[in-house]
Formats: sequence, C-alpha cells, structure tokens
Amino acid sequence: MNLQSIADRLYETDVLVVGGGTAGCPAAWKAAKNGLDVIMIEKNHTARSGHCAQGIDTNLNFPRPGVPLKLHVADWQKRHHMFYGEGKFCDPNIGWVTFEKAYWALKQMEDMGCEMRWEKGPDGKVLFIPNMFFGGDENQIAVHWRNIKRDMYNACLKAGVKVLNRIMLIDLLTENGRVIGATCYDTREGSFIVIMAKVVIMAAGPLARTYDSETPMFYKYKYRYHGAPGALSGDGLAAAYRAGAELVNMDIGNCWFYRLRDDILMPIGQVFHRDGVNGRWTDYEGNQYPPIATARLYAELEEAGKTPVFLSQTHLNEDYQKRIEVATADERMVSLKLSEDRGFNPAEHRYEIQPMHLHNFATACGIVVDETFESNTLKGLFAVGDIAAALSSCGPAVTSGMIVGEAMPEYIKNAHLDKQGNVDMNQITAAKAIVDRYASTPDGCNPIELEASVRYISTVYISQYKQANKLKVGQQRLNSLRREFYDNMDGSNPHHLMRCLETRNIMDMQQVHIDACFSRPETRGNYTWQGTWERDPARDDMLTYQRMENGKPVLEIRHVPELKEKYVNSPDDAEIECADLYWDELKKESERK
Amino acid sequence: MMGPIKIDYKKCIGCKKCYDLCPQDIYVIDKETGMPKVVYEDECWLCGICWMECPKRAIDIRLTACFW
Ligand SMILES: Cc1cc2nc3c(=O)[nH]c(=O)nc-3n(C[C@H](O)[C@H](O)[C@H](O)COP(=O)(O)OP(=O)(O)OC[C@H]3O[C@@H](n4cnc5c(N)ncnc54)[C@H](O)[C@@H]3O)c2cc1C
Ligand code: SF4
Ligand code: SF4
Repeated sequence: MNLQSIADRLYETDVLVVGGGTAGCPAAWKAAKNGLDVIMIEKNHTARSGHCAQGIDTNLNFPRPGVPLKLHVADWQKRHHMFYGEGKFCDPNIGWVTFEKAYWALKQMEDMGCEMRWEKGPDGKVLFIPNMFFGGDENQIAVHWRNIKRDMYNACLKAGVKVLNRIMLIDLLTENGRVIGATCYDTREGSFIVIMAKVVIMAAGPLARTYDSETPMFYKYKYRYHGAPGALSGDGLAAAYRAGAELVNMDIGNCWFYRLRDDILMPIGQVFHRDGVNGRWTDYEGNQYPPIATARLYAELEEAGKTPVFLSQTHLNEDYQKRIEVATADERMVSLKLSEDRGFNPAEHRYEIQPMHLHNFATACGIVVDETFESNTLKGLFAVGDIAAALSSCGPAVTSGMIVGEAMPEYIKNAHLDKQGNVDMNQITAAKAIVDRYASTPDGCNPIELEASVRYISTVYISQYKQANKLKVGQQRLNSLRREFYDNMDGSNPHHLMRCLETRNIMDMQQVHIDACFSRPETRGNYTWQGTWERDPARDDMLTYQRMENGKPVLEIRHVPELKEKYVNSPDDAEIECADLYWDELKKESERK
Repeated sequence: MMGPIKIDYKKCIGCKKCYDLCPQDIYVIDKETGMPKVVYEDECWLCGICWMECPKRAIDIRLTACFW
C-alpha cells in the first residue's frame, strides 16, 4: 500500500500550523509573509474558532518603561507562586522572550490589520492599563477584539496561507526524532488527509475536557466551559505526546482563586480591576470585606458561615455601570441579550463569588519548549500559545506565534530541510486504522457519553483533593472505561468521529495527568482552599516531565531551567524592540501609576 | 422541547453562515431544503457566534433551565 492510495488528499508544505487560533494565525501569517509555503489546519472555522472567537477585552504582558526586564520575569514567576505555591513552575527564559518581544508583536498585529486601538481611526490610542489584577509591574492593553479572529483569518488568506477549515489533526508523523508531517481528518466530508511538512507549529490550545465544566450539568448541555470547548480537548497535547514530545506540569491544573458565578454573564472581573476600581465583596446581609479576592479570605468567610459572598458594583457611579454593561455587551455580545431577556440591571446586580474546582490545563503545563519554542525532544515541532508550557492568555499566544513565524525561514535553512521527510507507512496505516475502526462501530458507545464519564470520575477521584487511595480507585475506574470503550466508540458519521478522536485524546491525557499526580505527593494539595500544598522543600523548583519513549511512558522529576547568563547579565536599561513606537502613551500610563 | 437554539425559518435566507462558523458544529444543511437544521444542539455552548453572525437575526438563543 502506498501513500497515494491510502490518503484521500495529500499535501506538501514548508510549514504546517495546527490550530488557527490566537497563536496559530500570527505564526502562519508571519511565516507566509516571510516567503514560506504555509498550510494551517483548523478543526472548526478559523474566522470564529478558538478562545478569542467571541472577543476578549485585555491583552497582557507589556513591560512598563523604566522597570528592568529581570523584574518583570521575577514578577511573572511570583504570579505562579500565587497560583501554585512556592517554587518555580516555568522556564523563566520563555517569560523573558515574550516580554522582550511584546511591543514588537503588537506592531506586527497592527501590520496584520488587527484592531489594537481603543478608539478607531488614525489618531486612536493604544489603551495601556496597569495590570491591577495581578498587582504586577506590567501593563495590559484594553482591546475591542470582537472581530479579531475574522481579521486574523483574512490577513492569513491575504498573505497566501492555505487555510484548511474543519480539518482535524489525528497524529503527527515522525522520522528519527523529527516531525515530518501529520495525519488529519475532514470533520465534514470524512476524508483522510496526509500533510507532509518540514516543520509543524502546534497551536491547538489547552486541555480542559478531562474535568467537569464549571457549572454542574446534567447529560445534555454539558459544554459550559469558560474556554472554547472545541479547543479544549487537548488534541495537540495528546498527538505531540504520542509522537515523543515531552510534557511538563501535568499534575498542575488551573484553579482560579474564585469565580463569579452567574448564569447569564461571563465573568467580568477585569472591568473592575481596570483603572484600579474594585467591586466590593459583601455577604448576604450586606457586610463588606476587603476588595481583593483571595482564597484565604473566602475560606475564612466560609468557616465563619458568611458565605455566599457577592461582588457588588452598586456603589460605582452610573458612568462606571454603563461601562460594565458596554464591556459585557461588547466582548460577549450574546450575554447582554441573554441578560436583557432576564431583566438584568447592572446597577443592582450582584455576582456570587465561589471557589473554583480544578478545571483546565493551560498555564504552567504543556509541551516543553525552550525560548525558541521548539520541543526539547522532538525536532521540528514548535509549540505556541496555551499549549506550550509556561504560556497562557492572548499576549503570550500572539507573541510566541509571531516569534516562531519569523524564525522559520532561518530554521529551515539551518536545519537543511530542503526536501520532505521519508514517510513510515506504518504510521499512516495506524492513523487510518483508528479512523476506520470508529467509522465501522455504529453500535459503539456515544463518545460524548464516554467523555462525560471520564470527566465525572476525574472530578470525583482526582480534582483537588488528590489522596493516594482516591487516585487508585479513580485509576481503576478509568482503566475499566478504557478497556471497554476506548476502541469501541460510535463514529458512524464524521461529526461523531470527530468527537471519538477528541475523546481518545482526552483519555490519553487523563492518564498522563494521573501518572503525574501519583508521582508527586506534594502537588496533590489544594490551593483554592485554606491549606496550600504539603510542601517538600527538597522538590522546590523541580517539575514533573513526561514523554513516550519506544512506546512506553517515561516520567522524570527534574529542575526547572534557570534564567540564562546572557539575560541575567543584560543591562537594566536594555532597549525593548518597538517600545518607542508606543512610548508616549506608555509613559503617561506609568506616570499615572 | 425547548433547546437553546431556535431558527425562525420565516426570516432565514439560507446563507449558511451559522453552519459555516459554529465552533461546535451543531448545524447540518438539510439536503432537501438547503436550509440549516439544528442537529447536535446538546453540544452548543451558548457562545452566541451564530446569533451574532446571522444577517437576519433569524436565530434566537435562549437559556435553558440548567443555565438559568
Ligand atoms: C471567554 C474568554 C475570555 C478570555 N478573555 C481573555 C482576556 O481578556 N485576556 C487574555 O489575555 N486572555 C483571555 N482569554 C484566554 C485567551 O483567549 C487564550 O489564552 C488564547 O486565546 C489562547 O490562544 P491559543 O492560540 O493557544 O488557543 P486557541 O485560540 O483556543 O486556538 C486553538 C485552536 O486550535 C484548534 N484545534 C484544536 N484541536 C485541533 C485539532 N485537532 N486540529 C486542528 N485544529 C485544532 C481549535 O479549534 C482552536 O481554533 C479568554 C478566553 C475566553 C474563552
Ligand atoms: S451559540 Fe455557538 S455553539 Fe451554540 S449553535 Fe451558536 S455558534 Fe454554535
Ligand atoms: S445565518 Fe441566519 S440567515 Fe444564514 S442560514 Fe443561518 S439562520 Fe439562516
């Protein structure tokens, strides 16, 4: 059997970008602008896919003028302490380059035609606001990103990127520790596609669908995630892992300290923090508490029987309330419609604050990369955006995408990648066999039902209170699910088959997560409640790394890298590329601080 | 039964934007009528993209009881 006969479609390209989201689009655009052949595959439709599809309101990571970059990196690490406890959780070199290139990336975004200014028109200002949320030294910018995905999509098309919508990654193709392409599935037509590429940029977003969604939900309507469910199945993580890329911190998921529980609106926390104006914490009787939301304060109130607590904005002036309403409508348009249906009045509304359970893997965990964003174990695989270890949110996603897109011509030249790799037909037939098996199991289990079971078991037996015995029982239950259903899902039409492939990835990543939890008792603690971890100082700054080697999982606990000499020794007043383009607005903001 | 998505076929012009853009792929184009049909409604996450993109506001999104 040869490639032509097994693949319904076959492509060759210089660069394959997996996932047309916030990080993937800039990477594809920049690589195409630099003269490369680029294919970008997107499971949904690039114009409205991924986490930015509905718009977001802030873009983070801009270092403040006059503050040395080293302090910004230290601050960034402090933020991780706040979430996860003591110790370093990320490679600081990655933090360094994303801060260093933030203004450069902002300039590229403007060149791409994205709306980066608060007021429209040539005189519009980039609206820098202090990052009150993390109390740090950096700026974020307020953005109208309602149509950011559409604008990015159009820019990619114009730059000559071949965008393949509704095409889903199945697995990566490798040759001697190097990525040489991918197998894919057309989620509408059901065809099997092979793409040969000199490099692959993985931008498929984070993982969350191993845990229950944020609002308890019965079987129907189960996708109430804060993140975009289509981008949360961890497809990219799973495929990279199976191909030999190393993952890190898969024991550590994200738990926000609190969330605003409101069934009609997405959280609007940032609106308060912007300009340093805070909402008020009050309890049911109207008693007020300090406005800074911490897990500890919440726990104290819970113990004292004072919960539920609310974030109230009734004391803010009318102008502010209008802005809240506008921000809510602007960035999450349907929310305003739904809230109007329910008679929402921002002047009177109180948002209930709740601690959040473990819900996704985005911030500290992901594919291990160095500051060039190339995988440490799989050559030719780059990871950008939330899927890369140490990166999360839009600023780092865009910046990492731009950096990698920019570096691709040099990389391809230096690595002498002048022709495509040699395909191992076994890898192709293995991927095709997975598709065929699901396609021919009409009486198999519903993939979403299986996913719901995995999520339920994870939430009950793993989640935050991970004690060894519970983990063991959870593992047993997941094993039996896997034995019975992993190969036995109903993919009798392309839509279902897409969900089968997702569930396969979710189950593979949940196994990696459990292995990681077993390996480190001290990361089993829970950090949204009063206690933090049972800290083992001997393991401070040590992380859990996992990869597949010769078909076997390998787990190591190693030191997180230090900030490199060249960065440590760089002058405090080193110039940051393109910052001067925005300097005036920035300085004003800094003076205000 | 009430679900989150409802198409008003009196307003719909069959432009297929909802079908093209829905990130959860809940729509299917009916072969006979050429019009969009809600098929995988239980996978909707109420993002509002179809509602926002529909040129005729032919789609209504309603909160079902479990989102209330
Ligand atoms: C409602 C909301 C509000 C937010 N607000 C903010 C904010 O104000 N500020 C901020 O900085 N951040 C915010 N975020 C987070 C931010 O949007 C994300 O961190 C960022 O967009 C991640 O970018 P990404 O490219 O890594 O992932 P995404 O943008 O999610 O892109 C991943 C893409 O990969 C595709 N994909 C997945 N699997 C496959 C596969 N197998 N094959 C092909 N394609 C695949 C997905 O469809 C998706 O389009 C918000 C997120 C949400 C959901
Ligand atoms: S609200 Fe979003 S997920 Fe639901 S049908 Fe519309 S576009 Fe699809
Ligand atoms: S977007 Fe609106 S008008 Fe277009 S096909 Fe869908 S429902 Fe009909």
